Amino acid sequence: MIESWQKVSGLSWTLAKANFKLRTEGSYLGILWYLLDPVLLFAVLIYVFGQNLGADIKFYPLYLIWGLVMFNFFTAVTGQATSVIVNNALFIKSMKIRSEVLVVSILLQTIFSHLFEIVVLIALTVYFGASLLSLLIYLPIFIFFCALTLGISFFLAAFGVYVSDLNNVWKFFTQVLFFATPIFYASAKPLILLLNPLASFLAITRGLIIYHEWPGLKIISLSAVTSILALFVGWYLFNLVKNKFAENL
Amino acid sequence: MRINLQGVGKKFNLNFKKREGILARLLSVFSLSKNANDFWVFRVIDFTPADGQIVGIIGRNGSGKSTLLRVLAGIYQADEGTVKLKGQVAYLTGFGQGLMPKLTMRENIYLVGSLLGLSQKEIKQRFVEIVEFSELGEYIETPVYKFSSGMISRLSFSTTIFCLKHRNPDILLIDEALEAGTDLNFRNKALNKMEEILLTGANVVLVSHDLAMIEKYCHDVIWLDKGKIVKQGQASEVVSAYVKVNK
Repeated sequence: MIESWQKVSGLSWTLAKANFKLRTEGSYLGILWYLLDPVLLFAVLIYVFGQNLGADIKFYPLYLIWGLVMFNFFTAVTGQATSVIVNNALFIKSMKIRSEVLVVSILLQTIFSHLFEIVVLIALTVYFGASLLSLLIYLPIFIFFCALTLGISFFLAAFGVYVSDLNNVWKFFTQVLFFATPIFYASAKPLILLLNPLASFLAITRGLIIYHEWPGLKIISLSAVTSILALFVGWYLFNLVKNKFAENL
Repeated sequence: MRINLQGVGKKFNLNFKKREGILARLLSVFSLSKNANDFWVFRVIDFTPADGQIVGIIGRNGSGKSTLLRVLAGIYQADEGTVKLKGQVAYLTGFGQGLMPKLTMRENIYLVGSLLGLSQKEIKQRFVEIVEFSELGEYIETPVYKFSSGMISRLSFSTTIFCLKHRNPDILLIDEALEAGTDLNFRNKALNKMEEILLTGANVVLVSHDLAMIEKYCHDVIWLDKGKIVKQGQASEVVSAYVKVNK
């Protein structure tokens, strides 16, 4: 089990590195393209809502950028996951390759890009005079956030083998999710926190990092359990069907 | 016995719709007509070569050779019977898989190497040999899209072969992948190297249409036709019978 995980992580790492290089090679804008999405959206939303919706929210720019960056990470990984197995059909049919590697490599590759967003976040944090030390708290939160993202990605990757327009459906779904998650507005409706794991992750991150507030044990344990559960269920479902990928592609 | 197949069969559902849209999928789940149209690629294949034997599989297109090899490799799952393999398995179908044209030769060697199951450290150990064998030492840092097709063949052959050699598989499955499309000089070198790998004592299963090659290397040959074993036995015997029928 441990040895197989070593192999999975080793190969995922190599693939992620290669793909990351491919994306940045030739254009130094490669990473910028990834950053551009949340940064542009940030500028627009600040312009539109900064004075009204955000007026009641303390440190609104920080509040907003954390929401956008985490949401961007989630959609980047899950969006690619919907078609990753199909895009690598040739590999899967001609090599005995552990297909989970392909999903994990998307996660790693997006983490590389995510690091650059963190740099932007650091700059903004300094600019608004918030504490840099509290950024360290992001690491444990991020690990659980990755578990949630990976779990959903495993599910989507497996499902995408059988359904050809999953990427379109998922794109639509994430668009709805963007508005259903308190990214640019404030919401403390407990029902939303309960139903939308992204909302509770955002609440925890913002509470701890921007406002230095303890979000409460209930919501933290809820998020931790949801993300671990998502990872296990996604992994389990993926493993259930992965041996049939080669025949169905 | 490292390879033990008992009554193995593989079927495909001809009515299977590949990757429909989500709506069509939902509709077909609820629709009542669910007649599976099963097509057996092969059935009741028993196959237990002695350790260290090189076995060839011949037959016409569509006789189930490649599917059988994929079942052996674990890429396809058998639908009946038992497949038991002991030891490390390597599966080879052609060269040049996994190459990314925009990456340099060095990066590609590492990439293909790890796809073939080697760790970074192991590839590093083999790196010099691979470059030397390919005779492309001057182009290590050149992106592969600038390579000619011959150079790409050299690169992928060298990488694949040395990685295979390093892994030293107990079972080697080869599907039409003995030759690299290169000049005469490299071809001889490549064939010699290939021979080295074939003769390391691994169990080799070789699918090929090159009957001369089959006769030269294989101890035993299986002749498949329409998913059934027509004849199995000494290489020269089976090959000559096969040639007679297909004249």
